Amino acid sequence: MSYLINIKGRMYTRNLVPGVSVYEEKLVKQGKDEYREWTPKRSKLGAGLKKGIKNPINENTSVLYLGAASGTTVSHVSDMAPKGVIYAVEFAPEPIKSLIMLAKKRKNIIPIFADANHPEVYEFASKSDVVFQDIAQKNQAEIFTKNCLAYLKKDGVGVLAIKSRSIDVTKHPEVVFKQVEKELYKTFKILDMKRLEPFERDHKIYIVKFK
Amino acid sequence: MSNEIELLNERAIKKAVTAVRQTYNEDKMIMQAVQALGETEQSNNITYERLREMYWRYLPEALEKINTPKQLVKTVNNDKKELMKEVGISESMGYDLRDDELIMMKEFASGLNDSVSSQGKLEEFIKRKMQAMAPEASKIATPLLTGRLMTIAGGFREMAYMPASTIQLLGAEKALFRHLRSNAMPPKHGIILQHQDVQSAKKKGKAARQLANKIAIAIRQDYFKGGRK
Repeated sequence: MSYLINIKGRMYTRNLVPGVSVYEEKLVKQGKDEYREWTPKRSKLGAGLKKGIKNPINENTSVLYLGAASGTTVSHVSDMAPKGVIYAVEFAPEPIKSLIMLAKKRKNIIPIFADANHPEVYEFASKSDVVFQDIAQKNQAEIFTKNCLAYLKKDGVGVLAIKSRSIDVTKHPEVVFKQVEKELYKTFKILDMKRLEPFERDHKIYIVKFK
Repeated sequence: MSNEIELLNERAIKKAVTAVRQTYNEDKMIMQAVQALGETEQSNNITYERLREMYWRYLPEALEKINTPKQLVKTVNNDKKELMKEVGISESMGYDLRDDELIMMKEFASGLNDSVSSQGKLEEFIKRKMQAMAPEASKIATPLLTGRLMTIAGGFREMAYMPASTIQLLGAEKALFRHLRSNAMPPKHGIILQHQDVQSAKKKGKAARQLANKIAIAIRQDYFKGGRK
């Protein structure tokens, strides 16, 4: 059975909580199962998948998710990893309230109210198969490296969505990406990377593994 | 799903709920009120314009001297004949509206009336809270402008940690980034321009810079008094 499907060019994930729509996305029936539509415009991971990156998440995957916000993308990850676990880190007090409500309905989500700059203080996280990060901070790459060193399994996959404009608006995105890649190469090998146009402007997603 | 994870889920939720509740700050609801005030102002202006348009169909002559929502609402609720006497006309260009049309207009006016009062209440709340929370900055920039600056800054702490030059440009982000990206001229002031001293200054850029300097000092004094960090 597959947790992520494509119908007529649209992506859907199998709803872990049938009948419940998380952010007013469409629900569709496919045979016996219910699926939730996943719009790439609202999710950088969704956009990345649409652009052809390999889906790093299967039903048993454990994921450390940094920048969970209100849980839009997290809900789809939770759909795809029904027997896995998602450690969802978010530091903004308003959006995390939605995430907590989501976690009440989806037991595979572990909400962590903490600053991703300080992975040493996460109380509930442990070594994961995947570290995914989508946060708009100046030191995005540094935060990602820190977290991977602390929580990514040796052969785990790191997925990093970079917003060039939050690193430096004045520089050309490609220049910023080069800079990020240089930093990533210190610790990782880059397996794949994709620009997220037309879903997001000046964003790039990276798939990495430890060297 | 393993039992272990379910247990972890419950513990994490409990912990997060407690931790999130502790992030309350005095500035949060002030910032909400500032946003609400801006939106209420905007919506009241639109509603006021619409009500004027409506009344224009009924008794245009009476509108000449009206320029506030309160005056307009009062007029809408007054008797047509009396108003005509007041403005000194025996015949109006306005239509004789049907009863249900008049009722519609009066009900619309009553909505505006309530909304204008609510706007006043928001303003009072912001002024009172800002004066208590940031008395020094309120003295220099007025409570309302300090509240607006703080809202754009993203909070009391955020504003206290801001350099004066950033405070000077709060509200001019679009122009600032246009300047940074291309070779456009840099902005001289953001919403600090609303301050009377900047408004009346000949050299507005200079006034904005100097006022921002003082606001920056004052807001730090307010924030750090009592040993807060």
